[in-house]
Amino acid sequence: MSSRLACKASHALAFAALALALATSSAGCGSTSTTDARLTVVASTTVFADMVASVGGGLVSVTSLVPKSADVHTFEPRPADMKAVASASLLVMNGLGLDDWMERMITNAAPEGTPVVKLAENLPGVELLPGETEDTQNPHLWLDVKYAQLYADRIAAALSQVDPAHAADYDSSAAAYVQELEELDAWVRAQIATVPEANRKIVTFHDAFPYYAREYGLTVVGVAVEAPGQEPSAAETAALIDAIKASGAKAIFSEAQFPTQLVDQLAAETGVTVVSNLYSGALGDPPITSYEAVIRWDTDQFVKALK
Amino acid sequence: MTVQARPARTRRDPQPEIGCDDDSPTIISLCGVNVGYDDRLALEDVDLQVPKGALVAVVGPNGGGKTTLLKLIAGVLRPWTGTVEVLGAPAGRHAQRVAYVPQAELVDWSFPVSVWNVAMMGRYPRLGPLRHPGRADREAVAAALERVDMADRARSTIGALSGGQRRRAFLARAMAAEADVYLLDEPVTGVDLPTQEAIMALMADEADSGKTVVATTHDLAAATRHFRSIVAVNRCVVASGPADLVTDRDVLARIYGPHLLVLGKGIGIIDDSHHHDDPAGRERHFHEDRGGRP
Amino acid sequence: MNLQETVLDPLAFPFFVRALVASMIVGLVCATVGSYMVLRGLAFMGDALSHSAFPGVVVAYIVKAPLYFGASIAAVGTALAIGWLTRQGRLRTDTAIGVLFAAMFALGIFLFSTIPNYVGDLFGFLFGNVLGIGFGDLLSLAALAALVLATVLIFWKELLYATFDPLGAAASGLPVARLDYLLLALIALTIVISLQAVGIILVVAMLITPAATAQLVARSFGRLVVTAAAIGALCPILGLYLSYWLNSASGATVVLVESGLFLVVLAATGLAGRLRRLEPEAD
Repeated sequence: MSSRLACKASHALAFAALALALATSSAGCGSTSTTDARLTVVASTTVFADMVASVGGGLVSVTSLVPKSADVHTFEPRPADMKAVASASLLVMNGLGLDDWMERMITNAAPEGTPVVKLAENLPGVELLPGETEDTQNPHLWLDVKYAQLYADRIAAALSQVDPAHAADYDSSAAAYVQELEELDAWVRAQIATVPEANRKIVTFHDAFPYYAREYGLTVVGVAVEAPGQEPSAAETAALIDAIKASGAKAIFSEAQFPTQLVDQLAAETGVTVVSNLYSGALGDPPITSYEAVIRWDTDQFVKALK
Repeated sequence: MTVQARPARTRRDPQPEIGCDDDSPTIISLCGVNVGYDDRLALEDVDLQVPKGALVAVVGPNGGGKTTLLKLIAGVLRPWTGTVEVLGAPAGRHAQRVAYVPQAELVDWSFPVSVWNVAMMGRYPRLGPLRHPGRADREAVAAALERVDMADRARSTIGALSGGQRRRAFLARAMAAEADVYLLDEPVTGVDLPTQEAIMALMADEADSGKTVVATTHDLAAATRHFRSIVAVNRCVVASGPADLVTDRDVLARIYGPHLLVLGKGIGIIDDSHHHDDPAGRERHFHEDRGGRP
Repeated sequence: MNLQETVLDPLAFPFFVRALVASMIVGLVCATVGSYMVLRGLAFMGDALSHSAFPGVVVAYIVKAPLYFGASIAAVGTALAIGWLTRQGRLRTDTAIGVLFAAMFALGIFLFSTIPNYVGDLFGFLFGNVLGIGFGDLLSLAALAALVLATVLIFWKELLYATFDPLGAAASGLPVARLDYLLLALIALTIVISLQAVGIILVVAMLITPAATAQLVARSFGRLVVTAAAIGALCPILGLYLSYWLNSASGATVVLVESGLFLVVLAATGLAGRLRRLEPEAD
C-alpha cells in the first residue's frame, strides 16, 4: 500500500511539473511593470524616510524598512525588505551602530555600486557623545534638530549625486526644509524654557536623547537599558534606582515600542511619573507622522511631565 | 566432548584448580573471571572451557548471569579480573568469526529492514567501509536464507514476520557471516515447537561441522532435548557437564535454590518469573531507551 | 500575477536564489542525518545540541573569532560529552542530555548578558537568517554539507548495523562506540551548518520531521533515507516561495511546510491502513 501511495505521489508530482512547464513556456501575459520615473529610495526607518520625502518631494518614492512603531535596534528583515533593498537606487541609513543590520542586507541584496549614505558617520560639525562602550558612539543624532538640519543637507547632496538632473530642486527643497527645522528648533527651546531649571532631569528607557538633552538643556540622570534587547542586571537596576532618587528626577520616559514592565517597576520603586509614549527612531500613528511631529510630541511630553 | 568448568568454591582462592591448561582443543576459555555492572558483581570466579564443536546451553535463573556470560565471550563486556579467550585470542580480537544473535525482545522490530538486509548485515564486518557487497556476499546470504527456509520471505520487512521467522532471519545473519562461534541469547524462547526443532537442528548441523555454539535458555526441557552440554550459572558456575545434568535434583537445587519446589519423587516446579537481566548502565546504547524491555 | 511570475520573480534576486539553494542543501543534509536520529530516538539530543551551540557562538563573538568555529566546537564538544556521560552509565541518556543542554544554553545567556553593546548578529543564530546568506557562506555551507554526506555514504553499512543492532554489531567486530561518537559529531556538524538557515530553535524540526514523514511510508532503510532527503530538499522550495509572497519568516515557513506534509502523510497512511484492514487478508 505504501508503494501505491508512492506511486500516486509521483504521479501528482509529475503532473505538477508538467503544469509548471506549460505555464512557464506560455507567452507571458502578465502585467508589464509601470515605469515609475521617481527615484526609488529605501531608508532604514520611517523617520529618515520622512526626511528624505521632505527633501525629495514628488521626485522620490521612499520606503522604510523598519515599520512604524517597531524598534530599529532589533529589526529582522523579511523577504519583501530584501527585495526593496535590491531594487533601490539610493539607500539611506544612520550608521554608528543604530542599523548595522542594514549593512548586511546591502551586502547581500543590493546590486554592486548602489549608493549608500550613512547620515551620522563622518558628519562634519557634530560633537559625538559616547555610546555603551569606549569605542562606540551614540547614534541618535537626529533628535537634536540642529543635527537634523545637517542630515537634511546630506540627504540633498546624496539625491543630487544620484539624480543630478534635479540637483537644483533638491537643493531648494532642502533649504526650505532646513528653514522649517530652524523654526522647530526655536520652538523647542522656548518650550523647554518654561520648565524650571531644577526639574530638567530625565530618565530614559534607552540612551536615545543625549543629543536632544545636551542641545536643549535637559540632564539625563540615567538610562534603564544599555542596549535594547538586553535585560539590565539586578545591580544595574539598583544603581539606577539610587541615581534616580538622588537626582530628584521627576519622570521616566519610555517609548511606545518598548515593554513597560521595567519602567513601571522603576517608577514604583522611586515614586516618579512614567511617560511611555515617546518616539525616537520610528514614526507612529497620526499625528506622529513626520519628523517634526516626533520632536513636537516628545517636547510636549517632556514639558508636561517636568513642569 | 565435554565442557569443563570449575564449580564455585566457598572460600576465595585466586589459584584455579582446573581448566586453564592448553592441551584441549579449546575455542572459548574463561579463567578466573569476575565481572559486573557498576558496583554489582554479576559473575564471580568463572572458569570455563568450551571445546570446538560444542553445543552448549547456558541455563540458570533470570538475573543469574547467563547473558553476561554471553557478552563476555562476545567481547562486548570486559571482565574485572581474569581473561576471556576466544579462538586463541582475547575476546573481541577475532570478532568477525563470532556471530551474536540477540534476545528477540531487544530488537527494534519496527526498523525498516528486510530479511535480506538483516542477513546481509552479517557480511558487513568483513567488508569494511566503502566496499559494497559483491557476488560472493549475495551468494552467501542467499545460501543462508535457504538453509533457514526464509528464502521466499527475503523481501519482507522484519516487522511483518512471526516470532519464529524473525528468529530464523537473525540466524541467517549469523550463518551468512560464516562465523566459527555462534552466541545465541534465548534462541528458542517464545517460538513454537516445530520452529524450535528446525532452529536446533541447524545448530546441531553447525556444531557437527566444527562450529562452536553457545546459547542461553531458561527452558530446561529445551536445554536437555537439544543441547549436548550444559553450563548452569547462578552468579557463578554452579555445575557443568552433559545435557542430562539438569535432571539431577541436587544440581537443580543449587541452580534455582528457593525457586525450586519439590513435589515428590522426581517432580519439581521451578518458579522463575520472566524478566530480563538488566543490561545496566555501563552498556547503555542509545537504542535501549526505545522500549525494548517489558 | 500568473504562475510564471510567481515562480520567476523572486529568482531575479540573487539573495533569494542563494537562500533557496542554501535551504535545499541544509534540508537535504538535515533529513539524511535525521533519519538515524529518528530510528535511534535522538530527537531530544538534536534539540540539545542545537541549543548548546549558543555559548560557542557567544564566546566566538566576544573573542572576535568566526562564529561558526565557536558553534562547531561547542556543539561537537557537547555531543561527545553526552556520549561519554551516557557510556559511564550512571545516568539515563535523557537525563544527561537535559543537564548538559540546559547548562550550555544558560552559559550562553550568561555570557550574552555580559556583552555591553547591542548584538543583533546573535539573534540571527536563534531564529535563522537565511536571507542574509552571502556567496561565501553558501560555499562553506556546501563544502561542509558535502563532507557530512560523504561520511554518511562511506560508513553507510556500519552505521546501519550499529543503529539497528548495536550488540550484534559490536560482537561481530564493528567499533560501535566510535560509530556512536561519529554519528553524534555528524549531527553536531549538521546543526552548525543549518544555524544560519533556520536557527537554533528550529533546526531540530529540519532534522526530525522529514525523516518522521519518510518513516511512515518507507519499507527499507535506504528508501527511508532517500525519501527523507527528497522531502528535506524540496520542502524549502515551497517554504521559501511562500515566505516570499506572504512576507513571513523564512525558516519558520519551511518548518511549517514540512510539518504540514507530515500531517498529510500521517492522515493518508492512517486512512490507507484502515482501508487495508477492510480488505480480505492476503498472505
